[in-house]
Amino acid sequence: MRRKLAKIVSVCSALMMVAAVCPLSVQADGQEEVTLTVEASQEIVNNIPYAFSEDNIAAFEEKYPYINVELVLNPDAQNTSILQTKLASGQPSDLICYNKVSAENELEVAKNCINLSDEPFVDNLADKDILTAPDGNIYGFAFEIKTGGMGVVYNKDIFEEEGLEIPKTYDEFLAVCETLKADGITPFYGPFKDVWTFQMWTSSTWGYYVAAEEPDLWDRLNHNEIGWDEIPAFQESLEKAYNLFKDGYMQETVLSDDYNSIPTAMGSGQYAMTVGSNTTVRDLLNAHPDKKFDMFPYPIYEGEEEYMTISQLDAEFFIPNDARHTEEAKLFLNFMAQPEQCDRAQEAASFVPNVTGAREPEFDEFEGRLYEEYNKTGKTVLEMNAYMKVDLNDLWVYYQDMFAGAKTPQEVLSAWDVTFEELMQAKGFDNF
Amino acid sequence: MSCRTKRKWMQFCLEVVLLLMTLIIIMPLLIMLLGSFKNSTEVTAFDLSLPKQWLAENYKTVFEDGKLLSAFKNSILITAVSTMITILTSSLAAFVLARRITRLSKILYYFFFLGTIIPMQMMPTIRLFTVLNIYGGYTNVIILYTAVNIPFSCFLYTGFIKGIPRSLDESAFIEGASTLKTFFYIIFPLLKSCNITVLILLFTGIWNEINIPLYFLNNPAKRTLPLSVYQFFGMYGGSNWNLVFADLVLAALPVVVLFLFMQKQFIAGLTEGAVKS
Amino acid sequence: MRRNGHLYSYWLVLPALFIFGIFFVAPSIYGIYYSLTDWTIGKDSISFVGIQNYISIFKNSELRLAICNTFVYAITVVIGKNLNGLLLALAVNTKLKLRGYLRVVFFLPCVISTIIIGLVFVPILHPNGILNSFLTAIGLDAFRQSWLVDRRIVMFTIAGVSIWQWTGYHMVVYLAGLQGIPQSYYEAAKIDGASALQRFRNVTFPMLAPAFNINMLLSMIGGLKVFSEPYALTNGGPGNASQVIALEVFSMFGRGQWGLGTALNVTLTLFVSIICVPILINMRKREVEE
Repeated sequence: MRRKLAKIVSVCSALMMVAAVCPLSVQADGQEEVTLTVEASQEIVNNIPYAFSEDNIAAFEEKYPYINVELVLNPDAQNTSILQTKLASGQPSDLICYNKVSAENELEVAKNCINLSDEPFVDNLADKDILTAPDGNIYGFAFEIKTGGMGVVYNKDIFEEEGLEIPKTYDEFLAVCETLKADGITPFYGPFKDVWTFQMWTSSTWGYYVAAEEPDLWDRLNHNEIGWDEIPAFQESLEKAYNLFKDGYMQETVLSDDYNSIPTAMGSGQYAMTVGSNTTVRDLLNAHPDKKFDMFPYPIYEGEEEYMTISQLDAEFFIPNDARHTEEAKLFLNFMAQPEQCDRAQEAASFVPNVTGAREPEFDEFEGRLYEEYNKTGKTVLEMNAYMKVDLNDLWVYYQDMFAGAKTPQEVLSAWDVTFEELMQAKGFDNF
Repeated sequence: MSCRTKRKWMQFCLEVVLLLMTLIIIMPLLIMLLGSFKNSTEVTAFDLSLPKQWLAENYKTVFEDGKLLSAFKNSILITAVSTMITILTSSLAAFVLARRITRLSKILYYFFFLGTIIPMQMMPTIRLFTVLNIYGGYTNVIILYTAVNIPFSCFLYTGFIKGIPRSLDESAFIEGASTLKTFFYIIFPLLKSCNITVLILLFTGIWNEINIPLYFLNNPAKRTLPLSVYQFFGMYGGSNWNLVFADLVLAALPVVVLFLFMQKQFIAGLTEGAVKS
Repeated sequence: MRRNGHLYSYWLVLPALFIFGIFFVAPSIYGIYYSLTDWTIGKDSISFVGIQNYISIFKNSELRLAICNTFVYAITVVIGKNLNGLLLALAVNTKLKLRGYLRVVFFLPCVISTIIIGLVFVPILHPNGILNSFLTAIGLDAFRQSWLVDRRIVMFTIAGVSIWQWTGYHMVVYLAGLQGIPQSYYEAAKIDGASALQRFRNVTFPMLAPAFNINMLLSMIGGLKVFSEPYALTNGGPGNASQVIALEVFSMFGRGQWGLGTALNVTLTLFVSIICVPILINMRKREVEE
């Protein structure tokens, strides 16, 4: 008898738990309203504000009152991991925002996301090619047509006060650094606590070198015909960066300072230059309206002409195959890819829209100059990251090892050569 | 100097030394608390200076921008339900494990203890919940927290129940009470301080954990409070440390208040229970 | 005795056993199978590769560093938390006026999330942060460090923050042990003319064994499974200097190397078990002897 009672209670308590828990999950799903989830990293939302214009989202919700748009923001460090986990487990958000080439490689959009080539918005695109994946399909929509430049961000006021010209060669660059240092200004601010900051230096300079000197190098690397440590120019760029640090042209605390500290540091007048992109310059100008900031290409190699490195297309929206509200997600993209929405997004930040009939951007002085001088004249080269098919995080970590004194530039490339091979092998590429 | 005054003098010195040591604990927390009332430039000093102007509106900004109310509700729901289920199931199990002296109970005891040793296997767990079709909601998070926390609670309860004389339940049995009646009417009331200990440990542990919600909740509306810390740090870290600090204070406040309210019984419970196991 | 068996029915264990078994143990066992496969994100099919993953773990110099770091960290925190915890417990156990306040304050950091603690400590430990300024102010310039950047000390810094946070917890457990010692033992020792030191060695120390065991066990398990502290303070950096096993497992999941990640997780389980199970068995034995 007692035993029986015990049995009943144990079953009851188990049932009670189920009862306690079940209604909660039903509640959220049982409503008629649709919650459309848009997942992205915090970094992308901060850097590409026009893609997440609040006014646009409000307009969308007004047009489709039953749809409620929710942003899911992931911490930068885990973003890839979380997205991959959710895709693999069949539980992704309805829309994912990610950089185009990285998405093709890391999220395998060709396998995991819906082919949108036949959606109405495709006909509105000003340039279809830049959205086309290697397999010829279009998997997503991005607002922008050209993407931001990357280079040395500098404080124009300091350069003017010191009577400095923009350096065109590495020797001139060193001379600039020497002048600044002699006047008590730390020439270069390194925000390398975040792993993704220093890689802007290499992704730009190596991208420039390959485009200018050995255009087939990325192909050869991706087919294992040459090792990373067999390219002297790559090592040269790393060494030049490391020497800046070693010779006291950067602050001692490069590994303690993160990207977020740039506005404070560069605004203080103690530092003259840093790594960055046009987003960095824009943030600086917003934070210090009374000061002038600008950007110039890395003067690392002796080149014929000055080229600005541009990054891969960022902030493209994809719809995963397993998304719960694919129809609503398509509505969202078709809604955003209209001139009206592009114009509204310009309020958040200026960009060249990839939608016919949309307004041309009203660039400020800085971005206008970049656009005229480099983008319009085609004086741009694509950064290294756009050519890579594997996650580069390990390489970025090795850069930190270099600044911490754990690896020489040579060792960074050798270590990456081994890791690169493993990663390519895991992805099933030939020749690895 | 007499022995007695010497002793008093030493006691006083000890008291002063310990008081100074608590400063080591308090100072970092104070930097956070003071920082949360400063403006965004003042806060970057990260020191113990008082704010020039106490900006309580930092909290308002954080509370509204961070959608903390719903995050707070979610945290309460997940934490409270998992804690309750864990306490109920593990105290029942511990009752048997503490009283039975057989091979099986010993094996079960070690089996449960294994849970405190092995780390959780993320991918297979996600697979399991996907197959069961409960991945992504509150349910799987609550079940997971319960599963993860049963071992240590069981361990604490077993130790504690062993300290309760067996003669108590035997006399209850003789009077004809059932096992469950005995447990709920005789044993459970005696577990009061242990319950509070387990309650606090579970509540703070689950409240502060962020990995499970990060991977096992797929809807931002279900986000928990500490997760909002991340959200906030990503949005304001570097430029608005004052808001980050305000958010940290808000995220820590509920558990700190709970602890301060129950600290007497809690420390008593921990001192009685933990060692006996 | 037979009757007792009926009374303490194993049915009561079932709810706990069910939840724990299905949702914790089963995935772990399944994990052992996955650790022997090449399960990665891009692959459509999973194939069995034997102990290949385990071999590559020990061949990889970065993972060896992570394993080494984990042990350095675990040993540091076990010593630091226990030593500090014991000393504090001895001090707080005397008849102080402030003992209530002291206990609460020392325990306070334990209830706060490690993530929060980490975010607060990062600016404090910055090379130009308040800790270094303080050291300069009191004339200890020589002790200024790049706490979270210098790869020779970063693991110890992280351990230090963890000791800061958790000493109170271990203090309370030791306090429990101290309060469980009957006063008569001390009086007897006093009558025998034992000095304070002798009393500590012959009465306090042996009687503290259970508290010591559990503190060792908990700090060791926590030390080997450490994740939140380096995650919040350095995220494994600079470079790989403060990588630990659990962080590597985490980033492997991120890269979609699920087979390898589970293998490393199983390896961690083995390490913890080999070190902690003997402590546990020793504890139970002592208890039975009593």
